[in-house]
Amino acid sequence: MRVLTPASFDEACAMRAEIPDAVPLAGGTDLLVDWPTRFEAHDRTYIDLSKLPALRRIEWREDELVIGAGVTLWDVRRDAAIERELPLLPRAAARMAALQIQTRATWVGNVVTGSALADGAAVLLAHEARIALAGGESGAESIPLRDFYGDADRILQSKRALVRAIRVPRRRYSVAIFEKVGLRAANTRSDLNLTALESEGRWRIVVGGLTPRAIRCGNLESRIESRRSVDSPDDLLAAVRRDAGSGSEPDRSDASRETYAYRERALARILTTALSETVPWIRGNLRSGRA
Amino acid sequence: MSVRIEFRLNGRPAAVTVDESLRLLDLLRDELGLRGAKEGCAEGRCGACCVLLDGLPVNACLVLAVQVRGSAVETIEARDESRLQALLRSGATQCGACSPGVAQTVLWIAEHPDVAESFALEDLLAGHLCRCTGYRGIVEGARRTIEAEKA
Amino acid sequence: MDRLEGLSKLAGLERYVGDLLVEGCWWGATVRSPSPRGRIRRIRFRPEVDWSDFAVVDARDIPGANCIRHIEDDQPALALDRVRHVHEPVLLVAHPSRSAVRRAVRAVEIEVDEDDPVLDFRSAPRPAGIQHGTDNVFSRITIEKGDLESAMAEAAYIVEGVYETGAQEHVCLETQGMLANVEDGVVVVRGSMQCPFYVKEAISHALAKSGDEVRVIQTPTGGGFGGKEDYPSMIGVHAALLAQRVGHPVRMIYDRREDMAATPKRHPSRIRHRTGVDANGRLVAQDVDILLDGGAYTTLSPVVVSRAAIHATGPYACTNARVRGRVVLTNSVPCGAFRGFGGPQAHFANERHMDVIAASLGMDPAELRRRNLLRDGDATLTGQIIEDGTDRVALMDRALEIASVPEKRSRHREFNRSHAYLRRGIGMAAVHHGCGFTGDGEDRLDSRVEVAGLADGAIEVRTASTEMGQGATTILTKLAADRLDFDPRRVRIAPPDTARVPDSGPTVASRTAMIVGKLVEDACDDLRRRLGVAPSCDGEALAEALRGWHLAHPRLLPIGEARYRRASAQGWDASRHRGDAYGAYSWATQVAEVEVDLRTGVARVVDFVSVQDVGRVLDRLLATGQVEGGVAQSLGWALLEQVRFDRGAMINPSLTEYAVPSCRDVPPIRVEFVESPYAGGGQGARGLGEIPADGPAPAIANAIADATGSRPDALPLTAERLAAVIELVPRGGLDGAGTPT
Repeated sequence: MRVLTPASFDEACAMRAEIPDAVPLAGGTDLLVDWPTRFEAHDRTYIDLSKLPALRRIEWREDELVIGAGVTLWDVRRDAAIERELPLLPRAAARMAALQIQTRATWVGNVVTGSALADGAAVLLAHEARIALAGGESGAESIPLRDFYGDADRILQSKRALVRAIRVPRRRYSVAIFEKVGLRAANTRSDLNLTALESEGRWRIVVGGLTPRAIRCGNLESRIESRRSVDSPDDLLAAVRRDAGSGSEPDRSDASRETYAYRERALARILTTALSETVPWIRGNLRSGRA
Repeated sequence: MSVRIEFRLNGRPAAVTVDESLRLLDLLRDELGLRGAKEGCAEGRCGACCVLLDGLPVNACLVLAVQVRGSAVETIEARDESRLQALLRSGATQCGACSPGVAQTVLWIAEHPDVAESFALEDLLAGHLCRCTGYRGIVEGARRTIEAEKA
Repeated sequence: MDRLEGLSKLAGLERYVGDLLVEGCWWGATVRSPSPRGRIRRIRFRPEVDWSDFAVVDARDIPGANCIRHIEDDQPALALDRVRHVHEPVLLVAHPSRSAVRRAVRAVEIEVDEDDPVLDFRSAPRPAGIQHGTDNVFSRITIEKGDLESAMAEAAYIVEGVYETGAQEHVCLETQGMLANVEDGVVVVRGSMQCPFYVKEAISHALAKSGDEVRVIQTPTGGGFGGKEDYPSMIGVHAALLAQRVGHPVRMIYDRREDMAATPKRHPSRIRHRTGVDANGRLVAQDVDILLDGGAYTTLSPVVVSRAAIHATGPYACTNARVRGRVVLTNSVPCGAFRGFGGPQAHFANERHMDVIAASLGMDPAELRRRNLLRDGDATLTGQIIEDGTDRVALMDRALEIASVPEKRSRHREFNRSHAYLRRGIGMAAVHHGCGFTGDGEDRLDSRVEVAGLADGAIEVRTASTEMGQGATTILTKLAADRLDFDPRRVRIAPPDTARVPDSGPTVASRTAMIVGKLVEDACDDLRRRLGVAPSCDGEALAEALRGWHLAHPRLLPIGEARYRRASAQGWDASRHRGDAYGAYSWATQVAEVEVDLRTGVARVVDFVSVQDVGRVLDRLLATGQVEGGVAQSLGWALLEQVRFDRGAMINPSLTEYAVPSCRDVPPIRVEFVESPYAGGGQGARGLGEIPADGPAPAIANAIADATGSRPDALPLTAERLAAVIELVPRGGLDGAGTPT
């Protein structure tokens, strides 16, 4: 095993270009899980990005917030400006694992793993974030997160690139909802999470837990934007199903259909009741209908 | 492969040669004899391995030793026992397996009043799983420690 | 008195078995069966490992009996040719390097010709599935009283119900660990355990060693809860076998995944109640059928089903009853001891059923209990007359008062009418717990305690009781110091080392403060006698007598002794389970307030009250901690903890996938003690450790039923499972018997 320690991000990019199999390592909160028994992981080469101060920058530009690849969940929780303007980021971070993970886990790491445990990715997807790449043959490049997420390994491999930052559009949202159902009240992964944002009539809804990776729910968004009344959670189920496709669990065959059915109903109910507070054509009445 | 790393450990310079695959937790326990931090889960869920890295609480089971090169590491062994009285008197410890990690985080919170004021105490302590106490002793002990150190 | 070892624990100075520095220590690990049932066809050692560097031990290498005996001799230390559960130990490997041992375990392939495993304890096995006796039943028990069928025929109402509970994993923060070495011909084993003499016996049996040739020493133990009552015998034998083979110290420390996957769990249960009730709400006929899943081997299952049966009808007067209990084999990891030991399962069913009965009768749940709680002079299921000074009705009423039940109910009615998706409810459970071993169990344990007067003027208390966080060290120190009028700082507790302490029995069954504590007091009295001082002499005089003794008898210690003598005169008929089951009972009423989110099925406990009579409270902080911890564990069992099984093995063996409560899951718990001293217990103490875990699960389920009008009769009530239960409630609700109105 080798751990390379670049002195700068440029040097890190050069290492990545030269050693395509090298694995970028930042917070380690995903890569180091169960480390002692994961022998195959001990035979690899890593590029340690955790000591590059340049990557830990949070930068406000006119129309976007730029979150460097070394910025942690805790960095965002501590940032009063982000709390004011993009409150779902710290809200989601607060509910991801716990303090000792949040001080190490990076937003970029969360996105790159494409893991089912990555709530941060779901929230960023809803904000229509972009990924800023560096290094590799294409040089600096910006890709929508939705094209990157779930395909990160292949994209980074093929370009021999690293992620430099995440760019989050600055928008005024009139509705900002983040809800999460886990295995317990704190220090838990998600069973189901929902991010819903509305800005100038346009909705952005991302759901994690229905499918192996978080998904943007275009059908749900259209249903809501159509202004057709929603009288009960049932009215949203058709749209949810179209968005989730077949609704498959990553594993656990027998439980999967029941679990999927439970999650889609819970999602429909959470969304209906949350939106009924601010959206006049949505009524959060759980008593009507089966859902 | 082995590499030599230099860092600060409990306020003093330290230098060790380590295998690059070694975790910080194993460096502390097996190489440096600092056995307060414990492995409870190997996945950063229980907090029993909590130490301070560059002034922040982290799970040492999820940090490679080589990643602390040039950094400051603080372990429970460096903490003054007199600061643990409130935890003791509140019943924060029973079997003790989670206790060094808990104590580490509690003292850190007490040293950062801005953090204590900005976030709920139970939110900050949620990374510590305890099977014995039901948490009241821990949370109350934490509250009393913060109060005592404000004075 | 502060917890004596508390500061050391907080400061990270306590040395658990994984913390000990041992020169030249090897690491040991276990190779386990991949199959739930079958015959081992071949074991293949893959060539990528240089096996010449390793010690490998299999069943044929066991010098003595290949058997870990708890009650029966059915469980091997290492499987020889047949396996009965996934993760059954087959081989042991050792090497100086821990990572080499880890790689080696992965490099062994065990090929099994599989038979169809028995995986569902609820259905009767097919003939080809019989692996124990004639019917896979490890133990069956029937307790009868009065005339069940006549009483049932005359009852005004008959109410039935079926209740289920799931497995539970202990999740001690310190995993299983042992360190074994052969020192001057003696096998010395140090480790995390509750019962050093159990481990000694197991090692002697397996290694064919006599008493002097095996020494077991408990190291500071990071949690037990029953998880270190039976299993340490297995890992202790394993470590000892390796140490003997290797000729160096061998340490085995399980990582969390192995610890969760391969070690015993709480017995899953299915309990059916059929109850006859008269027109006044008196229980006149109680018919209970208990079925427990024991896993692949007997272990302690007969005692678990026995305790479940004895407690099955609750803390209520019982005139006509039949309780039948069976614990059966499945090809899953064997079940074992877990705080409550059959009590939580029995009480979940009975206390849920009490609420179902109350709803059927249109009666307030507290009123139903008030009419049936044991009064002094009433007899239990086994015919034991209860006359112990506890006013069980007052205790219940006190809990209801602290929990503000009537006010909360009316506030909940308002809240539930108006809130779009949250529902609040409140529920109770009245429970009891027999302290110590059942029947003549304490006689058979024949516990002995010594208190020695040391040359430096200190007193040394010698028992086999182990500190695992419950406060045994502090409590036994206090009992001796108080009895002798000594400063506690001059009382020492001898380490639980089988070479140095007498066998005062295992640290289980809520017996430490009560039974061992009393023996400590008796031994103190005996020490006074041997020193020739009056029973009432003060500490000064005693210290003087001790100085005098040592001047007169250099190198000879005065040792006070005590041996268990049963307090009660009445007998116990084990085969019929009739008579005095326990010397003392503890009693509790617990009340839970919950909030249920109808959208997701998530239930949170927002308030909890526990009022208990555990006799004299020896230390308020320690006792409160026991209650709080027990409540939290039972809350986890009720709402959060789900062992997911595949082929009889736990497939979610991680702290991410198995959710014990976090600090945000446990509400403030309001604890109050009523103290009715028990003359047979240390300073009047009864048992405390387990009763807090007997009632929370049914109290929470009853609160959920109150909040939602549903029938939450099967644990765990995780969000998804509770959502399904609530789905079954049609718009008009259900009546008390669970039928749609």
